[in-house]
Amino acid sequence: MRKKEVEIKPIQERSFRHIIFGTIFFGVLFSLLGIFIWETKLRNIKPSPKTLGVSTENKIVLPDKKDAENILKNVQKEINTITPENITSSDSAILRIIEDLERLRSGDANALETVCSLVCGR
Amino acid sequence: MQMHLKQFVVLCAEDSMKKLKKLLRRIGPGFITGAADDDPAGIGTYSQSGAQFGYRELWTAPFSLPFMIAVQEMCGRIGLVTGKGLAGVMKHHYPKWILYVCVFLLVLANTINIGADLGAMAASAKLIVDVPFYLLLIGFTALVIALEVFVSYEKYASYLKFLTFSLFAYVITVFLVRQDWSEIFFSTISPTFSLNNQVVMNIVAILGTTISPYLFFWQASEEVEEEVEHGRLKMMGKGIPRVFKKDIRDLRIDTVFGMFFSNIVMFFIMVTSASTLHQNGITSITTADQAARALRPLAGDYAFFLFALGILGTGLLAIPVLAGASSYAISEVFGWKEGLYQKFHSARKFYGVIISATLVGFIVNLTPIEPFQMLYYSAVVNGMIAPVLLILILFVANNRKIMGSHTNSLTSNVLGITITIFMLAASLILLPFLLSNL
Repeated sequence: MRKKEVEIKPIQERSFRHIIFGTIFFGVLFSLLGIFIWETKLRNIKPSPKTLGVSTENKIVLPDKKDAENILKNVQKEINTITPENITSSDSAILRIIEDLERLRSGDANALETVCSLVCGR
Repeated sequence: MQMHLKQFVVLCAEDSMKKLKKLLRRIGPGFITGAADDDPAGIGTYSQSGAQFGYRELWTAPFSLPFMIAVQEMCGRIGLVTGKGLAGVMKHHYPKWILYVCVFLLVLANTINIGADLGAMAASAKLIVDVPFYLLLIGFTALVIALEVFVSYEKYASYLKFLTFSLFAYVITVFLVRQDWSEIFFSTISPTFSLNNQVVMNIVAILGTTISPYLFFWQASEEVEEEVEHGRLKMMGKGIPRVFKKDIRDLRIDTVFGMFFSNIVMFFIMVTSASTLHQNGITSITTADQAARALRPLAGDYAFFLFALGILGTGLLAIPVLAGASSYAISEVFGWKEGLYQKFHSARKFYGVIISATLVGFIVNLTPIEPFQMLYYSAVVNGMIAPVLLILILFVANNRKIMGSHTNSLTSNVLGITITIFMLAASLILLPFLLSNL
């Protein structure tokens, strides 16, 4: 592919109309760019679980109420062997954990309430 | 009074620093993509355009800017919203043959581009060291492969980006050479277009090197890599990241900055070449020596050194991006473990494609085409492949099932569709000319 010489028109010969066209053309183009940059502020995009992107098979599965109850049952079984007297510590964090465990051991709260009080209560 | 003034200055400086830091925090994959846009193929194409047409084609710089921003933002948004690269999204939502065609076209364009970049690096290095071309070519291929595999891209890009500052030599040179500023101004704001084959080929090449297929795939995948890095995704292609309005805004700002700087450099390379090479009768660049002469007014006998530095820096930055973009796509097609954050031993196939792409790029240099002509032709190939991929990107970005509430806005579509039609039309006009010259 040999390059041929291209006759290049000097700019002075370009018509006034040409320059006006160019100014309007770039004016419109850069206005579009301006709108494009700032429109995220104007558009009301709400993240919703249904519109979070690709609906793939790789969905994140959260534990349901049944799973939470099973986990709690296992924890209750394990902590039955632990008492506050077994642990000699004055650390407030340890005491707080023991309190939580005591509450779990009582078994009177349902899974949701227990998780809620542990997570949201602080 | 003096004390108050001092406090005021300190407060202003602190405020400016805070703003700058806030801005720098927003800089991400879009900015790196912009830096990779000015690869040796870009430098070669802009130099050729300035040498061949003088100031006449300067309008292509402001013309391409809004489109490259819109296209790159679209690709980045697809990655951000879906948690997958472009090939991964196509695999899940479109027929297999579309995916294969797109990935084949991408790999074809990238391989030619890698070859052209490697050749340009060897040819430029030959300007400053008296070593045979093929020996330099082998050396650079080995160096690039070693860096791709053993050094994290993030780390080595943070050092190599300083080499690309040599591109600012073009900006300085513009002010050292006598320029016809009114002509520069009018050429920039008044587009000229004719159906002359050379003019059309030049426009296809310029758009091909600014709106390149590898940048589409690279930015989408890099946005996902960033989500993995920030702990919003466990790994690439697994899970759905939660995307907020702020994320989209940050993506746009990041992309605007990256593309703007890339475009500024493009503009000044064209002006420098027009005012040095074109004015002195060099209208066709076939060798590194000719291209380097554009920097003579600034660096005199050191022009070759400065030029080689720019080509080497941008080449070392861009080749992993080109090879990486191919590898992301192929890994997504076959479901391989992917990502530059992975170590070599845990993503052997992903890195295997990167190495293979670089090696095939090396083989491209065994053709009789001169390295600096190859740069230009690789840009033409990119320009002809890009609109085909853009059609699919527009479909993906407008698919509510894929993008949810983050589909294209009206302005995104106007910009995206306009440039796709423009590039497609230019490619179709050029095709008979290219076929008749084969």
